[in-house]
Amino acid sequence: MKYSFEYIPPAPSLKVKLTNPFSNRSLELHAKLDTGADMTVLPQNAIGKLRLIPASRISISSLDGREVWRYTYFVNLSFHNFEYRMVEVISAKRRDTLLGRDILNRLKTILDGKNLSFSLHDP
Amino acid sequence: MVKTTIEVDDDLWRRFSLIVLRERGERKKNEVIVEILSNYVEQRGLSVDSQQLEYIMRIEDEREAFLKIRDKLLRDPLYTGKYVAVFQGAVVGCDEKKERLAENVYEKYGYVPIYIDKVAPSERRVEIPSPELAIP
Repeated sequence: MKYSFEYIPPAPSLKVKLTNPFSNRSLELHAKLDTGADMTVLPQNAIGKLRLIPASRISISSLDGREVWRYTYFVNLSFHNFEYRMVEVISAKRRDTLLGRDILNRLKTILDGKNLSFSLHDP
Repeated sequence: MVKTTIEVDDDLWRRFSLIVLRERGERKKNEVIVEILSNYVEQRGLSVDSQQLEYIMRIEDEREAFLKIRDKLLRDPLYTGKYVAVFQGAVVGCDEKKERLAENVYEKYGYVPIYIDKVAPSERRVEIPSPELAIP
């Protein structure tokens, strides 16, 4: 897969499908692979569109060390041939999704920055 | 719109007024205070629509119930270190895996606000260092 040029510099990004686990509401969004993110982050407006219900509250430490609260939600997530049920995610004011290590650690990810391409495997 | 009165230290108010005057100009203090209030709400994840706000209020009630019994759960080997689900003020499920617990309790009680958290001495913390995108 090729890096997305919507980011400067280009970044590994792919299309993911997010589905409400208890209805057929779903959305397709671009997700950036983010090994720095402990968990997957959805754009805030996706929560309302999918009619997700909050399940918990956690404390998030951001870039400058500021701590904020965020509510968590369970969502089904799929891309390519990979499917994950009931993934706990948070939301933030973003346009894209961040695919965090909660998902990336279930896969073998190869980033070829030199050639601006990447691959995901579940060996 | 709500009109309200607050008490502020004289010196703090003078400094605040000076900064606002310098940065925004005359008669802009109200605007800045509204921004500060909005940021405060945003930082606590409450800048959401009314339906979400209702769900969050219910989740906060369940969280309060969880915090009241957390010490007791911590001392119980059946619960400590595991995830529990709290619904209508009572523990309705427990599992080592939060995904399985969520699936089970939503199937049993419906897709309604049920609080799920780990029985641990402190709250869960995660790092998301990626800067948020500024939307033009």
